Amino acid sequence: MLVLYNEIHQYSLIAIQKRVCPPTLSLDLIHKNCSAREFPATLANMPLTPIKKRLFLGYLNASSILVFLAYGTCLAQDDYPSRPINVVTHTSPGGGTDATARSVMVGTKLALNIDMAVLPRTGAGGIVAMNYVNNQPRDGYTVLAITPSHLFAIARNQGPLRIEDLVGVARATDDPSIVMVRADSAASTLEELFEMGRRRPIKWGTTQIGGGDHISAATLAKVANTKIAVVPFFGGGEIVTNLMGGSIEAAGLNLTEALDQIRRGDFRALAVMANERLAVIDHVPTTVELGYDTVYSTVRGYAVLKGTPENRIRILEQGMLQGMHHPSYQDYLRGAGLSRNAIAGQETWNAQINQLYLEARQAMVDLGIIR
Amino acid sequence: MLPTGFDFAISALANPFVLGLIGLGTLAGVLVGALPGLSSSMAVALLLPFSIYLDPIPAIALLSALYCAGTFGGSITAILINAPGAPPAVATAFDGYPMAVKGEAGRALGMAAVASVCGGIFSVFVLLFTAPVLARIAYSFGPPEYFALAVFGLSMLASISREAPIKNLIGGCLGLTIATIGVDLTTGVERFTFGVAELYGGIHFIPVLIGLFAVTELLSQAARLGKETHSITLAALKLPTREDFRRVRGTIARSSVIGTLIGVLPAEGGTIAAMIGYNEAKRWSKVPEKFGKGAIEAVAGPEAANNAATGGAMIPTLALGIPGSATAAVILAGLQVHGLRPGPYLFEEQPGLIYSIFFAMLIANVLFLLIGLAGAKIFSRISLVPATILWPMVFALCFVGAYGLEQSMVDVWVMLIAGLLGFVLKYHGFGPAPIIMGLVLGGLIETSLAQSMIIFDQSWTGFLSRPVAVIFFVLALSSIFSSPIRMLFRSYMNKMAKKT
Amino acid sequence: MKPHSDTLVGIVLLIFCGIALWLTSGFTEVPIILSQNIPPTFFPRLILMIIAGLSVVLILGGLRSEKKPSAEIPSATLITALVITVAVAVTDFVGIFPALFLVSVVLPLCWKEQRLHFIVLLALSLPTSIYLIFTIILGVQFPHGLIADAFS
Repeated sequence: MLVLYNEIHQYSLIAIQKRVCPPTLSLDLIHKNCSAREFPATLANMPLTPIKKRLFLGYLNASSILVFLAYGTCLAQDDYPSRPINVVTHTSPGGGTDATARSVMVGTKLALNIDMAVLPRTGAGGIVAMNYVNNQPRDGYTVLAITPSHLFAIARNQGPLRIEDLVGVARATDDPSIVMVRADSAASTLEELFEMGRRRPIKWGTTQIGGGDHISAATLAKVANTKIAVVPFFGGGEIVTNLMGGSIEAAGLNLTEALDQIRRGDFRALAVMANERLAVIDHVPTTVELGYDTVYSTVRGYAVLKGTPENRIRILEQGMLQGMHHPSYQDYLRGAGLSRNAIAGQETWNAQINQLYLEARQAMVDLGIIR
Repeated sequence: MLPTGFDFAISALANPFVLGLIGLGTLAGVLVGALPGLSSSMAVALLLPFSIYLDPIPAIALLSALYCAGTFGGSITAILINAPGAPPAVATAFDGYPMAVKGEAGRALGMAAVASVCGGIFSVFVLLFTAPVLARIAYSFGPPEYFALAVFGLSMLASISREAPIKNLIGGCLGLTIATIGVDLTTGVERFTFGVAELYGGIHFIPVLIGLFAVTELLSQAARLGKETHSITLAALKLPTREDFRRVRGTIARSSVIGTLIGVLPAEGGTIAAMIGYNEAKRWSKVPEKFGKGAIEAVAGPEAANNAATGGAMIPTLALGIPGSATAAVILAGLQVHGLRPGPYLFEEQPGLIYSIFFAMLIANVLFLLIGLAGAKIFSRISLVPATILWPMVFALCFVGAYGLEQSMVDVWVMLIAGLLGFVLKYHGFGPAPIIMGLVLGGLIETSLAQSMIIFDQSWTGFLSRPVAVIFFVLALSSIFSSPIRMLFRSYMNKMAKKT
Repeated sequence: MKPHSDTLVGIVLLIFCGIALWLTSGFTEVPIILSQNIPPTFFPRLILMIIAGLSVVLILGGLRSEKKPSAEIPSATLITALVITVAVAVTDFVGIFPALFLVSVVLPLCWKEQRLHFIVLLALSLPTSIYLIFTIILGVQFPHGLIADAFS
């Protein structure tokens, strides 16, 4: 058994030396140096110090621990960031927001030289996540991954936050909704689909009722003077399954969710809900081209709450931007068929957050959901 | 002639580092699975960022091994201290714990290990050979089918527990009521949250589980103090006999098939599969009246089913890119982080990876069989610990398990209240099983009903147009009426026999 | 003269249903476009009605059956329930480890464990092993309580 451990120990060191910068390894020891109160870290929020690695650490020899200890102490005395940063997501692991956050973090960790972790607080279209973040100190160690869902929730006055509370850090993706039907559907254009809806409501799959996905579909239907019956699901994966299975007739899905199905010919993309066509499926027209002025896109970015020190937001912004330019995030974007143009800093993103919020409010006022 | 990718997988895995990782993954999986509150999905999520630094094959091998072993690990604490380490192990506690109380902990643990491995290995082979075909099942399951499946699950309420049917029904409905707490998916309205932010996401399943089983048992133990002397016997260390295995052959085979099929469906696969596995074992048993008092088939049934569900859950995950369970979702994220896009192409383009996952899961199954059998003798000594010492320890474990989930004291209070209420209910003849069933199925049944009604334009007759749903409704009816009919038949036969 | 225990349980369940049904009327109203014809109150009300119906059957069954007064809950259980409730309640003030220490000393004493060395061993080893496994290896940060916070 001991031989096995030694072997693993060696391998793990080699693996870590090859791929991680050594200082990350010392994190565990930094933890122990600082008082426990400084670390409201949870079990789920410490993925880079998992069980395995802690076990590995146990086999580091004494001298290396000393070296790390020395390094750890000097790091801990430094200013921000000196301990792990949590990114709070609102979807379960495996969803688009989760995958995006994890890919961004790979490079950001290296840039900030600090551990980062995804903290899923799922449920209720981001309200649970916003609630959690609202209860954390505004010190830059808790970052909220935001999507339009959060802004729609705020616009409906749900959850503890108001729009002024959000301070954007950086934008990561811009993933437009694409109106899709199954390949054997009678509708081969958007207009034909809407014509069907005028006779009998289209069964339209969306994520949470009242979220951006639903509101944009309802707005599109209203503009096109057609009828839809909205079927809510927990996430994109479920919508894809049900569109394949024929339980629903149409849905607005992201490229990340349904690129494979489009390429394979299972789904027919009717229109991109954006101003410009998408490079990977450039034969598909946009809603704007077709004369419907409704665009919707899952814009994913990061924000902290108002009251977080300005210089810390700046450091975080730079770190996240570097992370987004890191090859692992670029690979992720390419694999998902997403545009790199989405990467943007605080200024652009902050302006867009407010813009999206106002649009969300307006759409809901138009539909009579809020006054 | 070996299939393509086979030799690649062998050479990728025949490496002391990778084998060591699988071994560690298995060991950690058993431990994490056994501790209440730490589930395999959490452990896999914890390891995910670490696995980024590994090559894809060792990374996925590690995660898959952890997944397989974690599902088995849950049965250990379910049997020994009535605290299911993970939700899928709930049904194992129904009879596993009574067995341990009878002084047959080793027999129950050994059976759990063997049944788990049989179910696990069966499903892994199914995964390898039929995944692309079987994955299509996931497509044929829309909201109406899930609703019908949930109704079938609820139909087991009357028979799953020994208590009076009406009390089981009330218990199930209480579980359904608890499931409505939180923000409603379809409307975003807060229900029964009393303004407590931690309840927005709903009552967590695990604290309720720990409370209803372990804390309730702690209070029952207190009630039994002095009345029963804890018989300390070395029989507790005995493993199952050949005779035992012969008796459960059919149960294991049936549960393996059920578990694999239910596991394919992207929902609470393992837990529902284990419940159905338990119920079917009971329905087919010659001695159903022994269920709930420590029947060995009742350990084999759910354990084979919940481990078969692990392989089943990997089928849509790999073949469609749709996770078959919460843990499979994290493994899916692990694949994506490594730039692999699961889907039908994965089987054609990356046969080496598929074989590697297959072998990793196979090795993990064999390893936890060894751990399980060797450990059964060691673990079962726990049932020899005097109650006055054991139960304070169990409570500490419950406390930590409930807290560790989200590091929230609200969950600890939920556990405590569930335990106190559970004891009062048990005292009046309500078992914990129906409440748990209602809680598991509550979200599914409400959501799928709402979705179905929209799809069917608010007309109930729409369900009749879905053959799969109709099959489940028929199964539900047969499940409800089979036992009363059989009972009537039996009493009739007895009367006839007496007359002659 | 005591009623049958089923009758009592049924009445308690009816009261519970009444309160829960009253609570459902306090749910936020949602516009038709959001509720999709299935309001958030539909499912909880349906289930609560079913429970109420079943409770009535339970009460009737209890009234008809022979008198079987509900047995007293043994005092050991009540004390145990009290001990664990206190342990959870004080955690916010003293932290988890003193709370667990309390449980591991008081509970065996209440359960009339006579071998004091067992209790001492338990009281020392339980919090220690929890600390080792969960805090050191798994990295769970437990509440240290207001008192510890006040001194740090």
